[in-house]
Amino acid sequence: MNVLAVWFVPLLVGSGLWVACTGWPRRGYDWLVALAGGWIVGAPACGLLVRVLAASDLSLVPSRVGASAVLIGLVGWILAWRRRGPTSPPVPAPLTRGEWALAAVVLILLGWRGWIIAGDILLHPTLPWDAWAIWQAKAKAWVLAGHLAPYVSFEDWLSAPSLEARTANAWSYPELLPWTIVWFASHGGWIEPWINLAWLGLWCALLLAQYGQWRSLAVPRFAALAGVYLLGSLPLVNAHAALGGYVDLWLAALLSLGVHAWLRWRRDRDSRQLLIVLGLLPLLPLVKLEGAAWSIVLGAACVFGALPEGLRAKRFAIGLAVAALAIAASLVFGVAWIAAARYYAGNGPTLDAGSIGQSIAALSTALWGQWNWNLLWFVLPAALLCNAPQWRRDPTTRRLLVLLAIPLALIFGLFVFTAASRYAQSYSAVNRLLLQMTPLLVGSLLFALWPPNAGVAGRRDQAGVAETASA
Amino acid sequence: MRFARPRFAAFVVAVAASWLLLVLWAAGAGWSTPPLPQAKRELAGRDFQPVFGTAAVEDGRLRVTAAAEDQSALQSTALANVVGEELPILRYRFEDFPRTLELTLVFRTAEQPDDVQTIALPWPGDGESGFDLSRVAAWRGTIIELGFAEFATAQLVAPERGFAPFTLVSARLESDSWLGRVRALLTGWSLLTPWQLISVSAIGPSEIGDSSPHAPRLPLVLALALGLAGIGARILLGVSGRRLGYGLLVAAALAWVAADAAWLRSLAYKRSVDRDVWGDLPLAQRQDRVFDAGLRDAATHLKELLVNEPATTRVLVDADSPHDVLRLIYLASPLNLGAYGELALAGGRIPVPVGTVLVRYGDGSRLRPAGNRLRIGKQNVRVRAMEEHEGFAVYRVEGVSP
Repeated sequence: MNVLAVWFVPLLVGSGLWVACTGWPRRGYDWLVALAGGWIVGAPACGLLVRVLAASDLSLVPSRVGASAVLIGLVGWILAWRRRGPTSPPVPAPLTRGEWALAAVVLILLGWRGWIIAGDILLHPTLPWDAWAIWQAKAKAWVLAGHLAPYVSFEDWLSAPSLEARTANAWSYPELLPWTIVWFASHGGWIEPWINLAWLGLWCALLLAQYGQWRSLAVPRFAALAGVYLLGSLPLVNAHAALGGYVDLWLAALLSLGVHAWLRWRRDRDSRQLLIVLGLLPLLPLVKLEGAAWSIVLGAACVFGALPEGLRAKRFAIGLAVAALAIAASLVFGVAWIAAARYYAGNGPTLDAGSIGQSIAALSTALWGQWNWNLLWFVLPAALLCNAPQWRRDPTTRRLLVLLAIPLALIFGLFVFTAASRYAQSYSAVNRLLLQMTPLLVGSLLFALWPPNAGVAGRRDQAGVAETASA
Repeated sequence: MRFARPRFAAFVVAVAASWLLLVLWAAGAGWSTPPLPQAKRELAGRDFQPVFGTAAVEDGRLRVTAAAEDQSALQSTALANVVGEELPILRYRFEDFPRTLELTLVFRTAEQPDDVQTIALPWPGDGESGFDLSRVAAWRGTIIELGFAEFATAQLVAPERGFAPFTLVSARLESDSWLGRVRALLTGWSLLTPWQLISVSAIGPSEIGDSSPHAPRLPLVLALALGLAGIGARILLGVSGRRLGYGLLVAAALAWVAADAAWLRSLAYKRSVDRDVWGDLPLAQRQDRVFDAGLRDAATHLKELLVNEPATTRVLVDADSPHDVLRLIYLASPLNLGAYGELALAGGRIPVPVGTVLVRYGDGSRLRPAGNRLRIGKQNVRVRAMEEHEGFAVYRVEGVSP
């Protein structure tokens, strides 16, 4: 398959699906969200198509997967075109001199960084441990064997030697990312630097999509630009882009797209955004085990937001009940993330004061004592504290913070009160879980400092009036 | 907004003084520490002798031209009358030091002469670098030997590719001083380290979490500096509320960019290391140059040996460590591989199918048949050697009896 096609087809299929849900983009930032968010969704969509259409023979990837993806993308765009309304988009205010200057600085700083990261990715093979031990191990075996053999437990694998199957330590981990890697390997075969370039694409797409999402939620232009720089310059985000092979940045991007679509749906009552959320919910657990937990949180938030007025008083109880139901269903059907949760929480909570103290100290060091997050974890609490009177009036900011607080509390509980505390103390996992929240954390910082709907829009939101963000 | 000149001057002086104190605190300097070093022990390159590797004196400096057989190099010098507590600041200068090598300080004390202490040092670059040894618990007592050791960068560079000739220009031990400590702090903040396995999980000067002695890192110090400036503005300038908030926001933005500049420099350095390691190869061949070349060669050989095997043939591998097992599985892909250790863990409960291939890599593997018999739990497995050397062996299972 042509190298350009490998990158362009995810853009076409993802953006086609996106605009089929949200309608023809009318404003500049809507285009950004549709194209950049579309690429982020389109890459795993191509992975899914690989699994469905070409599992038995990967030489069929270009003809079957490529053609189907192009068809789906075109149909999506045609549908959006046919359903586009007559209204002309509002003319955006021209950029001020200061905004031009800020945009130039941000582009230079991020462009320079992107150049360094791109050069680095193309130089080295896959380096990080879990990348070659888990996420790329399956994909490499499939690509070199030419078909997708199922991965089974060690016992099943050895007990049935005639079965066309494989095994691995992480045989039960979600396979969406390995399928996606197979897609990116469809040009040129197994060339690690080339495959890992997908992480640079993800970094770029995430930044563009975030700008669009923040602007669509009425974050001021200069603040959105600053937010893009803050997110794009975080050392751990850069490390994940430059090293490639880990799944956390994909999960962060998909979760952020879902949460921002949820915020837009709650604010504007635009059910088309709800379609995006509903489309992303099943993708999260397919990417990584903890994606199931984030999916349940986001799903419960959707139910919470869809409740009729009469049930609003019981919304917290209903949201909890929905989450409990999802967990119960996962238990009944033996979904893989439950096994992981049982593994860590199975022996009951860790109540040893020494261990808890060490975990909290390590967690604090991870947030404030290392280079991972630049000044994010200093500035965010300060902004929330100092600007509380402003952001408290903004329902969008309040919703984002509540939605973010739940996974952060879960992460805190996991790394302080369970057997997973050893991973906090070794810094081997805690920052990667926080990375999954990073776009939302940067968004929270922007919303706390410049609450977009603190005044008029807040009252509109209360009234449930569809409201368009000003350009 | 305009401030009265005396107030503003007081603010500037107070903030400058508080920042100076902050930097001294971060550097670990105490009140009794003099600003400049009072005593020094100069060591020219010619004072060092090669212990491992080849080196010769050139113009008073030591030119190290070759590594030893194990691809490491060590240059050391005997010391007399050096007490660690009295000379805790190390300054060192190298030239042409390759980015593919790690630098380690090696020393011994008279109190424990058989105990060789090693401390990882920041990459020296071309200028003079500093390191604060007062944070190292072992740097106590009478130092009788001091040296520098060089190894190929771990987890990144194959040992045989790490070395390139370099020059040890000089080293210096200094008594404690503000200047020495601050210089060491700045060297630590320079973040010139290559990518390592932990880099996707935590990023620090040594990228090994917080197990090594270190000063507070730059983001924390910048945040504290912002806090001090905020307190100064509140007390001395009377600024509060939104104006104080906006001022601090602008200052935080500048501090963020400053920390980011250090990180960008580090990012560019990491790319330079990678360019030195892989830059001479075409794109498609870069994945074949790995730091564990022995595993790669074993994997390649295994694939050649089993090239005609059906895809369903189970291949169980064992090696010295879980890391080596996983690497072998990855590098020998697409063979149908699993970890022999899981079979051993199951205590032989899972029957081993006839035709299974068993692979041993490394000297520490448990996979060692006695003759053509191998005991796995309660199973007595009859094997045939397809290839057998001390560090690498391949067996075929030909029969299993309880």
